[in-house]
Amino acid sequence: MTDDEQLSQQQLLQLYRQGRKEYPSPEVDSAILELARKRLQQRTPASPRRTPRWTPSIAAAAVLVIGISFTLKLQQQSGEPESLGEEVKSFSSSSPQEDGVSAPAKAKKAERGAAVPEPQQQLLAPESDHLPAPAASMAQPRMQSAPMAEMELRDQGEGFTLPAVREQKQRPIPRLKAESWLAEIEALYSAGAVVEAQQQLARFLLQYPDYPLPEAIQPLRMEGGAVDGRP
Amino acid sequence: MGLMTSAIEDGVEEADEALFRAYLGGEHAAFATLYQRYRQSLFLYLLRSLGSHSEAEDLYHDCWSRVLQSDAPFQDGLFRAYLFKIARNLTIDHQRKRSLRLVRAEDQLAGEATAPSADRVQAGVDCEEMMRQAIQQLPTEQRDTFLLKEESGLSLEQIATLMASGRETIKSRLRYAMQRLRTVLEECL
Repeated sequence: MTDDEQLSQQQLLQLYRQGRKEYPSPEVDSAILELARKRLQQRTPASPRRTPRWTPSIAAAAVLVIGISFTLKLQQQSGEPESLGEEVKSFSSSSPQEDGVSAPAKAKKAERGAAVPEPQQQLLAPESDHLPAPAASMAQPRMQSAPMAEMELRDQGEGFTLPAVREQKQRPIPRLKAESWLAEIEALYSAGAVVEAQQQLARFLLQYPDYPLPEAIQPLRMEGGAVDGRP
Repeated sequence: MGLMTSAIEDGVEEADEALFRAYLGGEHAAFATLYQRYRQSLFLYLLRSLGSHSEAEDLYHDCWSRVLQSDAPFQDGLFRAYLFKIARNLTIDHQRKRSLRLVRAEDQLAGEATAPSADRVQAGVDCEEMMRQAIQQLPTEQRDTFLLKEESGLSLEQIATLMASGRETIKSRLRYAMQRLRTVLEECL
């Protein structure tokens, strides 16, 4: 391409660019911009698609898994699948109280535990260790309420010692539990649910091997044979 | 220099795509900016291709409408290339539909372009008008190539891709178009 050709080409393009004066009408401009706005509004309802659809189902599954594992853990701890509902209730009701205990109170509690005479510890500790979860959870609030009771008694000036208070507060718990358990077994037996009553009795005897059985359910023990592991 | 220009152009293209993505993300203002950027060049491409203001406006509206229908128009290339490809396809379809009328109009325009009056040539405005008519007089492929080069700002390679032709073909078409225009507009140069 010669210089003349280049020059004329530049002049040609300049002439073309000088004539670039036309624009779309403002009506068309506003129509297109309005169309863009409408398309945007149409797209906006689809924006929740950005939230993954699997999120709620994953959350539900996670809640389910946590719930089941929690339940199984409770079952393993208590060894009583039948009384699961009670366990959950007692656990949930006892938790806030447990959380409410302050560190100094816990320290005092530990001291008190150490102050309990050995025979009493033997009496209490095995029971509370082997107690099913409901019984344990029932015992806990009472143990936590012991400082309160102690304070009340001190205020009254009755001079009660700590072990005595504890003994008074804790002894009836397993007894009550055992009694109510036996009552349940007796009710089952009288209702004709012999097998279930035998199973309950077997469990009861594992928990309370030396607890005297009422006469009403003695035949059950005989029917079950060596249900408590003893002939 | 070339690299700098290329970098700037790349920056512009990137901004186009970013603007359109921002629009898809809910920012209407981003589209308004993008629209303003191509408002005149796209319209002139259509106007010079069709020679009719009203038809150009119709296709201009259709072109933007199609762009707005798409969620990701520049997946395979640049937004600018995509925009002008739509415009070109619409123009081709439109010209097919009115082929007979177009031939008659081209004949008429060619007659006018080849015989500019002495008065018109003397006035600068007439040279611009002659240029418009001379562009209309060009063969379709040459006109299209020339207009895409001038209005879209695409490179020869990009135009070649858009027109599904080779780079050398595009170069030849452009050269022939310039020669024709130079011949017709000799008195204005």
